[in-house]
Amino acid sequence: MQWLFENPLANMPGPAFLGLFGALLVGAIIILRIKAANIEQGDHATPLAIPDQIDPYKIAYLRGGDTEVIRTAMLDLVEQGRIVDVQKEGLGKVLSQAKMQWKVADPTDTGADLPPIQRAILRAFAIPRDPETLFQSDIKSRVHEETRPYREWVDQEKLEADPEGRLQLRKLMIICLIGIETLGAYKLAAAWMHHRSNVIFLIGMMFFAMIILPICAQHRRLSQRGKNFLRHLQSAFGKLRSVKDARSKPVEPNYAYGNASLPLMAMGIFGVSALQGSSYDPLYQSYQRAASTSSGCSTFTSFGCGSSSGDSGSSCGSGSSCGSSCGGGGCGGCGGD
Amino acid sequence: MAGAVAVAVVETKPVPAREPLRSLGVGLGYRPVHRDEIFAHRSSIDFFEIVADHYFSASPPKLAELDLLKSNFPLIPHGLALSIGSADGIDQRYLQDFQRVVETVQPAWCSDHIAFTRAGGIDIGHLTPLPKTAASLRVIRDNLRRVQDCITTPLILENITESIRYPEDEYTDAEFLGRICEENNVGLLLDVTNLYINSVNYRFDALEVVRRLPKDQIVQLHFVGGRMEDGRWVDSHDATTQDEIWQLLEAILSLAPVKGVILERDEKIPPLKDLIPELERARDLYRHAIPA
Amino acid sequence: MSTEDLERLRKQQIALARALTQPSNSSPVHDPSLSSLDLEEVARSAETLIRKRLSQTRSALRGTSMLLRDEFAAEFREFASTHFFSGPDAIWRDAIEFSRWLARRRKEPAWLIDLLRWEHERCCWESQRFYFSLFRLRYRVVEWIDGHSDNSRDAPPVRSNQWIFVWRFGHRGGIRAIPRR
Repeated sequence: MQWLFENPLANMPGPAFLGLFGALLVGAIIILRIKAANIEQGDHATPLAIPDQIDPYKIAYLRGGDTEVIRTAMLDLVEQGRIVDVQKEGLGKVLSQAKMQWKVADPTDTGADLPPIQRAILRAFAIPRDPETLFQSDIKSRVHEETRPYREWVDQEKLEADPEGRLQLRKLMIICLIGIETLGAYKLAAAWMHHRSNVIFLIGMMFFAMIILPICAQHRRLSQRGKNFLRHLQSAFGKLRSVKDARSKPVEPNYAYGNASLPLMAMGIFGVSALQGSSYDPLYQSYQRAASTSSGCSTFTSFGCGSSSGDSGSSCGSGSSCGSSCGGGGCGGCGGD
Repeated sequence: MAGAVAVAVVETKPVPAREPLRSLGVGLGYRPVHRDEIFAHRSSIDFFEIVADHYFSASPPKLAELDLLKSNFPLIPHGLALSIGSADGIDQRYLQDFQRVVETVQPAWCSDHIAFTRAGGIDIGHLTPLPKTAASLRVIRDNLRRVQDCITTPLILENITESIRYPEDEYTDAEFLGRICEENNVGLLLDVTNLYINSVNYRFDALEVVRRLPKDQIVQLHFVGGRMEDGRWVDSHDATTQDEIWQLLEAILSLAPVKGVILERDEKIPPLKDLIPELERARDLYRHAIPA
Repeated sequence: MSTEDLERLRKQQIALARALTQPSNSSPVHDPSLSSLDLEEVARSAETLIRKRLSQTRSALRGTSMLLRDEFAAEFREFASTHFFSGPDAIWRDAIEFSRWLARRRKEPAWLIDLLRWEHERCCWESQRFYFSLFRLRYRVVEWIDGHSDNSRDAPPVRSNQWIFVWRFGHRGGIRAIPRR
């Protein structure tokens, strides 16, 4: 057994081994990131065009799975007036401020005319509850069955990262982790055998590896195609980013695709953040803690969205020396006085 | 033998033959103010014409906008400053930027103007007409060769309003445009409004000019409303299309197998829904004239 | 068609470019290359170009344009007759230099100078990839957007001094007002 701890690896000086260990760790990180990027990229080069008819539930599913579908259905019911927020007075009001509760407007409403998802949610509000409790209930499993058509659509259009690839990535991460930790443990054992105690750096690197490798193996849920599609939708329907602002515009385009209303479309495409400040703000407040907001222009102040020349509505077209106007930039025009 | 004739043989690169272009229908000059509205009215818009210059050295939001448009609509890049008629030659940097946009978009064709915008190091910032002379044709030919060496996508050229006329003109409008098209095998982007404005201001028959053009090479049309100012028509691109321009458009569609028609509203841009009636009217004329 | 014809065309184009862009500096009457042209048409084209520049500058300096109205056009014409910028950023340079020129010329009222300063900085911020500035405004500047603001000529209410911090690094940047306590 002498050879087990008397070999070039076991006898390698500490700094040299740390260098080797570090190099292997960096190599593992690179391999995992490349694999994760390949999974996200997917193999579909052609972008998915925005369809003529948009189902807000489908988009909500794409954005955030069953959770977002439940939230969208909740808004649908609130919009129909079938679920209302509980109005409390006095001490009850103060206590319920922390968690806003909702309930069915009409206790006799069974939701028989509703699609399955909305019906299940409506019935869940027979007693007043916080909307977030829906996610801990069996509603989610019932909704999961009903969202199968959306899952199939996502799979068919390859909008999510390839599940096979995800599995492979996880396996690869485990192999890398086991390999590196085993190597580190072996060296620790060799150091112990050789009565060496300055192993703190090695232990630190082993802990670091345990944390960093799973992180590097993370990837977006959506494929690049899915991400681009969602980004295009949010760009195309930018006006719906805020229901309050969309409604205040004097000229409102008709966004009623199919049977979807403006708030429902906004919810489907942007999530609960779109409801802030509107008449549905109480629902936004209810979900605020778990709300996933879209990025918007968070880097910039209210003075402008920080776009470079040509992007803001009041600025001039970039590099357009022959443009007839700032907004147009076409080839004619004589300019106004 | 009395005298000998020396013949100079000038080798020129063969003009590439043009493949038939696909028909795109009726569309709109894309303006960023309409971005939030285009999907609400997409059934009325077959394709967009984008100003190529707006996507030179573009910011990420602008590139994202281009990505959104090209994923959902056929696009035609329209240049503003290729300055094909400039005796100083083509600006190499502009050409490279233009090429980059064309390669990104992969359009059926791209376009610019029969004009010059640059001379003696000065960027005029305005499309300036050329004299209709052999010298201009030579300059255009040489510049087009350079462009076609760089950009394989078919380039079509647009007629502009002539704020200046040159007494030394050797050709008529029709002859000049026709020669540009035939000698260089480039298509024509016939701006109906510009043609109409020139015909009124300089008193000639616009339709007669069209009849004398090589009709097979009229690839695309532009149209929009202009206005009268101090007794002259001005290509303000800021008004609803007038009846006279509609009539000319209809007549041109019956003569030429046009592949695309664009409403080119540049100024006083209304909400997109206010432009839809013009698009629909153009579509009716287009479908009536051009069989599917 | 000879080489002389090409050279003649080239000279004519240069002369025309000068006549259109610098009408106060170059006189088409004296340039032989333009002798055959209708000078009225040349002047009209030069006027069209100035109108185009005016329209673009109005869009860039919207607040100043809305406040000064016709005076804006008159001031810009005077500026444009002696200033011309070439190149892809000509539009921005028109706005930036005009705002600076007008601020030096007008000197009062103070809130107009503040507005010009603000719009000048915003144009610099929008047009340049790398930019940094810290400046102080005495008056609170209200962004005029879509004509919703008050169009009156009265000065905005006097507020405490505030510093404006403008930064841009590539495609990221921001504009922040730092109010005084």
